[in-house]
Amino acid sequence: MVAGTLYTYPENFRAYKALIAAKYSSADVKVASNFVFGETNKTEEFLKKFPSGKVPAFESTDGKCLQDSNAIAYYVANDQLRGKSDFEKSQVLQWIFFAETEILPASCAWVFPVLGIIQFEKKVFERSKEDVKSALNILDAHLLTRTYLVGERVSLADIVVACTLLHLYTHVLDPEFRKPFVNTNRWFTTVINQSQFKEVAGEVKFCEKVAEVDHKKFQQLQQQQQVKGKEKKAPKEEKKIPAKKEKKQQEKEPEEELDAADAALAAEPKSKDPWESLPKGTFVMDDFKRVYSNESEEKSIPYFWEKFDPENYSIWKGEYKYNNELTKVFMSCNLITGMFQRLDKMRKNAFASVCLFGTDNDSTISGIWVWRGQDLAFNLSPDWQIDYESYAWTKLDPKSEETKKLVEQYFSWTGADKDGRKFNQGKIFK
Amino acid sequence: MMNTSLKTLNQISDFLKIPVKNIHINEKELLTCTIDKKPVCGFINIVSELLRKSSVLNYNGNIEIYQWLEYALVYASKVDCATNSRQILDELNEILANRTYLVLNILTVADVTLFYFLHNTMAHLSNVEKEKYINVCRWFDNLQQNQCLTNRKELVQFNTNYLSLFVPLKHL
Repeated sequence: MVAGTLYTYPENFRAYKALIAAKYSSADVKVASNFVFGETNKTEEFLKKFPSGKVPAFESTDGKCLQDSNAIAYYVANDQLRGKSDFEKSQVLQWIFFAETEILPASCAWVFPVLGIIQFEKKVFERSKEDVKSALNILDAHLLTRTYLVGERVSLADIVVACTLLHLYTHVLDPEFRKPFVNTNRWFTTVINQSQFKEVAGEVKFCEKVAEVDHKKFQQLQQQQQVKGKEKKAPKEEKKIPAKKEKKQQEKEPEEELDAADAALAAEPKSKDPWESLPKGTFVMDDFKRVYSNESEEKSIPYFWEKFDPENYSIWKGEYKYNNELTKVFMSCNLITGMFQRLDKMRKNAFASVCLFGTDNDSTISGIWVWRGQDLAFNLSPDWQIDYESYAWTKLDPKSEETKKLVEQYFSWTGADKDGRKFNQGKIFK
Repeated sequence: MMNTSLKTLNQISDFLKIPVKNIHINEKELLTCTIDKKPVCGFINIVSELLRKSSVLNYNGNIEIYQWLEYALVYASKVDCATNSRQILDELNEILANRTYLVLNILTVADVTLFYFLHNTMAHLSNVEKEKYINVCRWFDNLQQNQCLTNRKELVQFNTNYLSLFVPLKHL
């Protein structure tokens, strides 16, 4: 009978695999109680036994050391879990690798931005959903005619794949998304409700509504990590290690610190103003907007130049990068207004006139923006970074005649784009 | 019908490893037997009594189990008639699409009882029917691999179902 100690931080789904396998095999596996992530696994003593410093790590009572959660789970399992024949054993391995290569990368790319652990990148984020879908399709087809993944009893394959799916099912697989995967849902429900599983992982709560990306928490965690890094004088060099897995392991770290982050978040004053660090200047955005709305351009544009404060405000031209993808005029207009909506909190200190030139299937979008500060305002808040990368931004010199012309053209909705397409529609961000 | 219940009761008693004696149908047409020298009357009562004494399955008094026992007695015991069998298989197929076992997420006496009642019907399904009732087949196949439930020689074959992914039946 295997007996030993498992080093891990709490609620680590990787450690769950070994702990659940141990429940089935009655192996005596204890979690090291004094383990502190980031400290214990950085000590010389620990690194001597486990050179990578990764967790979970296992040391048996007779001094055998093992790293990697799947290897540990295999070691502490019994014959039932490992598979009875050579073929079954290979099938178990097949599913373990399926979990590692098909499910886990997609799961991390989807779940971590939602938890605010890694930065949100739209393309990666959307692709991860498709990857998860295709992995679930494979599982679902397999489970149509089968109760468990390998053989007719719970095996290591079920434990490993279910553990790897845990984050997905609890954080992002909302009822609508998981609905088509009837067989996978049935199998997952069965596996997580086995007493051996529940004793380790507790009651699993399924995701109930569509998950949204938590930009705020990401920022918070970033700041915390920076502070922490300084305090401990332990720069996070590991982050730069290119190996995918290493990186993931590192990204695990904030996860266990989430509670601390929550506490810090609660203690801080609610929603800091992103503009706070920038001087207010003399230009009063609201006054200008009022004049612009109520007066004709003949009055409002001279008013703008009279009041404009070039010290503290800047003028930008934003040109849509993918004009050749634009089709119907109304769709392009929705693109603009959609962006405005997502930038809602920017309104206080920004103004823009964005115009559509041309006609259906031959049009361009560009606009003139004015905001507080000299740099790209979108960098002030992660909430504002959804659309801006689709535009090419050029800062305009407020003194030049060219800028004056551009401002007049866009503010009064006249003229044409640089290829001569006529003004079609304009939208004002105010 | 009484004979099927009688046979099933014997199988359940074997599975639970609690012997029943003097099993017969009394003058009121009720199934009667003695367990530990105590007379017990009625199918569901007998199964409950067996469960209480047995350590093979965890007895948790779940009310859903009773519901299934009743279903088994009232409907599944008459499964040998073609119209009945179709209705029962249809119902079970729908329920088992979302469940691995009938009650909770573990093997209970509800599964065991229905397994015995349906054994004969399942053994005589055509390949086309096996695919039509794919969820019942999956459930049944899982149970029959349990050596305590059946003699391994009598396994019903469901291999053709694995083909359904590649060549699904169109005429169902």
